Amino acid sequence: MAKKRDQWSSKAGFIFAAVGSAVGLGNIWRYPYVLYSNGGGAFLIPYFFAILTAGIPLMILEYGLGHKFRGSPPLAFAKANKKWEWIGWWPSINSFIILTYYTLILSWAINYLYFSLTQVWGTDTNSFFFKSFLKTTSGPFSLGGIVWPVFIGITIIWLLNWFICYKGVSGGIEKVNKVLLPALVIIMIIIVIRGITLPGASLGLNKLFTPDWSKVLDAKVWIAAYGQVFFSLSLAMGIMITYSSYLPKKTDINNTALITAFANSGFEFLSAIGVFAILGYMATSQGVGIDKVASQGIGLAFVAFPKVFTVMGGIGKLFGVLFFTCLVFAGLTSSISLVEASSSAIIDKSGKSRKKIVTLVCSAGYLISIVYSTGAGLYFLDIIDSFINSYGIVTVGLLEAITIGWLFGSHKIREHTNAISYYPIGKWWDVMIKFVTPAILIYMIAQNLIHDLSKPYGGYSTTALIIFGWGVIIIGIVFSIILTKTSWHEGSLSMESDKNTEVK
Amino acid sequence: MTATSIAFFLFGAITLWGGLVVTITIAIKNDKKDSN
Repeated sequence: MAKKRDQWSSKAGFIFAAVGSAVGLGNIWRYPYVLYSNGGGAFLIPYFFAILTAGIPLMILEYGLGHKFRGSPPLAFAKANKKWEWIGWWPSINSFIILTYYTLILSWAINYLYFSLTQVWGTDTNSFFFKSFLKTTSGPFSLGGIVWPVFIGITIIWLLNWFICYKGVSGGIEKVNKVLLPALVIIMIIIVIRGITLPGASLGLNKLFTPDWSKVLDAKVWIAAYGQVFFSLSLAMGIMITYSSYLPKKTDINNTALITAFANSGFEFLSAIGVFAILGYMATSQGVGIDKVASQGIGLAFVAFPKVFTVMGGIGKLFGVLFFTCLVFAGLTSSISLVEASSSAIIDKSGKSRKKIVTLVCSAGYLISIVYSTGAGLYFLDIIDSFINSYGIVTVGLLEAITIGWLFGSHKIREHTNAISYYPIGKWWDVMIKFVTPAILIYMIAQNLIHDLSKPYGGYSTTALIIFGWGVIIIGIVFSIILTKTSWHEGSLSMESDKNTEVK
Repeated sequence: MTATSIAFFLFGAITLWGGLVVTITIAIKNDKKDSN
């Protein structure tokens, strides 16, 4: 018999968890630079367009799919058509792979949270991060030894992931998100308020918002907008399908998708203000232009910002603690969603208890993560992250749009979400799923392929890119097919499980 | 800040934060309807 499915205790609990998943490190360290470098204020036009034509439609598709079929991605796709099960496994496996290196970044953030108290990074933050802290080796084939502070951080994060997911959907994930997400927003508001009152903040904000209209007609800027929206909303990772499968039967899915998208974008807009106000202060205090201090990703969080915190003096310690707490909270709520997306797929397939599967997934993930705590960890992260994002996730998004849009029939998902939502979506949604989203995703894959074939990513050797880059893509596909061949536990494919949910 | 950058800040803030407030308000109102 099908087991009773876990459920959120309230709709608010689901929204907190979904927004917590979407709001991650990229919102804080990627979006501000994307906005600045792609036309400033003018970028908001393609960005809003991307939210409306791809972000929200895909979000409704994933919510609708998970809710209609009451299952993790493999179960949802298998219920739609047994032949499509492997399409559901791929995002679940990708989530697991991402998780193994996402915990590495969170480990750095935990370490830097501690370092903020003494600002041990000194004045040469670049050398401190790569040499003193990470003990980075010469390349991916030179492992070096285990970097113990990183190892300890990884251990802490995996223990937290395990404990939260072990406690279940409403008892663990929902409770944690209800605390961490508001805390994250409050801390970011404090950073923004203090940031905009720093001398030189207006310089950074002027650079951030002053429109460069010449970029609006550039195709690359539009692709950057679609890419930002697609990756930022945790789409095509199996997370939103999984989370929506825990919703009660009567849920306003259409409005909930809008709330998630606006909350995620609203947060990254807020963080862009904080980041560029601080960068404006940095540029002013050093007497240089914003372009000399603006950066993104690891460079922003672990090199540029620590330098700013040092320049700030005493208050820099407080800023450091607040900033790295933000990174830890934002990352933790996203990493537990990745654990859940991976675990729920195996729970659905095997019928084994959540506690057993979560323990199994976290143990396996932890063992793999140990490899990242070596001196070569940064290289593995860099290559695998690039390939998973450029090909793994984007291809899954494309497969989802084509399978549901063209083969299954997007109208079936639309009719399902409209039947349970207050405000129906029209046939325009079908057009977005069938034409606009696939066209954009195909263009993104083609662009990435052309770029990577003409110039090896990151200057790495072809061997390294084949093993760690294309290797993880192949692993994802092969394991998806293998797992599809295993048999479902009794009753799991039955649509009867729908009756187990009640309105709360 | 210049008038132009303030205008684009407001454009983003009103659309995103305003959109969030409106959608949450709608959700709360509908939840109240459901519970009545």
